[in-house]
Amino acid sequence: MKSTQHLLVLAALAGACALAHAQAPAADEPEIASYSIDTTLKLSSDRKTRGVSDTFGRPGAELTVAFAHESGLIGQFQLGSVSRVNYPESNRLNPMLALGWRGGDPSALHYGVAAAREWFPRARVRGAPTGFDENFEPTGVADTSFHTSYLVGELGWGYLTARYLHVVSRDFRGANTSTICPGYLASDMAAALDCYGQGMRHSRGTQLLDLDLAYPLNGSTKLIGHLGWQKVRNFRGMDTMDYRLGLEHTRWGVVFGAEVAGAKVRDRAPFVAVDEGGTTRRMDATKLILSIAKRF
Amino acid sequence: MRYPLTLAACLAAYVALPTHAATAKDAHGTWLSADQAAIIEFKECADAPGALCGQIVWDKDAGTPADACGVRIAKLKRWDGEAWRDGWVHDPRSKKNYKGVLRAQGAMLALRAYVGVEVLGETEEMTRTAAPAQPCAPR
Repeated sequence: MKSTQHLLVLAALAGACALAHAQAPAADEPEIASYSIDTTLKLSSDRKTRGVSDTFGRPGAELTVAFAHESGLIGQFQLGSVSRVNYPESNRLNPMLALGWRGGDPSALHYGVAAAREWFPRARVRGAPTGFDENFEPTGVADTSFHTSYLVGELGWGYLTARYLHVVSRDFRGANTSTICPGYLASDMAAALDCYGQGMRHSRGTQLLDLDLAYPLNGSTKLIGHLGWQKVRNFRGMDTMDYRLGLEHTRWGVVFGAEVAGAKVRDRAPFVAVDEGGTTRRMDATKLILSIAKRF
Repeated sequence: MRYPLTLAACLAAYVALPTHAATAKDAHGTWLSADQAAIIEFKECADAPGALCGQIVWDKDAGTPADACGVRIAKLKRWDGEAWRDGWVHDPRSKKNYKGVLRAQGAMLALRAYVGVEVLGETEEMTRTAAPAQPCAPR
């Protein structure tokens, strides 16, 4: 985790140095911008990450600030909303910071690398058992946060982009024995005991692969497609294949989106959430998501 | 898992389809912006023979404070056999200038503004249109 933070700091320093060497314009040319900053606010009827809802199937919002420098350095800060049902005790916010470098030709081969970290402030699972003895007494307890760090590699051709993410933090969004195994207790005791029986395990080394398409149908409408694969280290039941297919249409400076998104999961138990009122929902359910986004 | 992979392969093949060869003159003419708020005329620059200039010749906001009538939005100096390059693109909304590249593909014109490398940018896609009946008044 510390190594990722060091990478983020180094990338920020590199960006500051590059900015200091911005080129001066020629006498007969207008001044050319050496960097760009774009801010986008998006509201959606559900906020899913890789086909799994972060908002208990309820509407969500995200603010994204994207930075690009002529050296190829890129940065992105995103502040999204999450539900306390999915992330207990959280302040309902999910900040994410990514820093990296991108190069190539957008109409042919393009590529990039980045380091990213997402936080779930205050979200924590406290005192969850890490295993049970023969008398079904806990053999230990653990506190778990959901913060996650990633190393990212990107390779694309034209409108297609493949992105590989490798989890370098101890857990991938809080996935460990004390948080995953309880999901099986209500539905499959044998699976729960098997899950606990292997001792306290974490999910560093989880691998994610995203394949994204943004194909312009005309000047104002894009076809959006996504396929993603998630392989969670030590917890095969969390493996998923997710999909997204929709349209984005720009009018009056606003992007209107409609897409069908969901995930195919290996085990359903870890993807079922129950709120305080007893409402049970599948977070991986395929559904139509409507969105509206405005760039500033 | 097999079917999504097949779908992905089909999508990859589709987006990689080759397009017909363009010529430098393909970009000449009048083009309607994606938001249908402006018509831009591309032609040889009056002040730089051999270069391509784009100028707003109709703006739906004409006569308002947002009026961009007559504003030059692009100057590109070199045709490389595939695209117009080496110049700048002006964004009238942000009043900023960026590096630019312009490609004509049939009835579509793709004007890309970027910082540093082409991949760090955004493309405005325009469609060919007739010259406006009521063009901008000369500035």
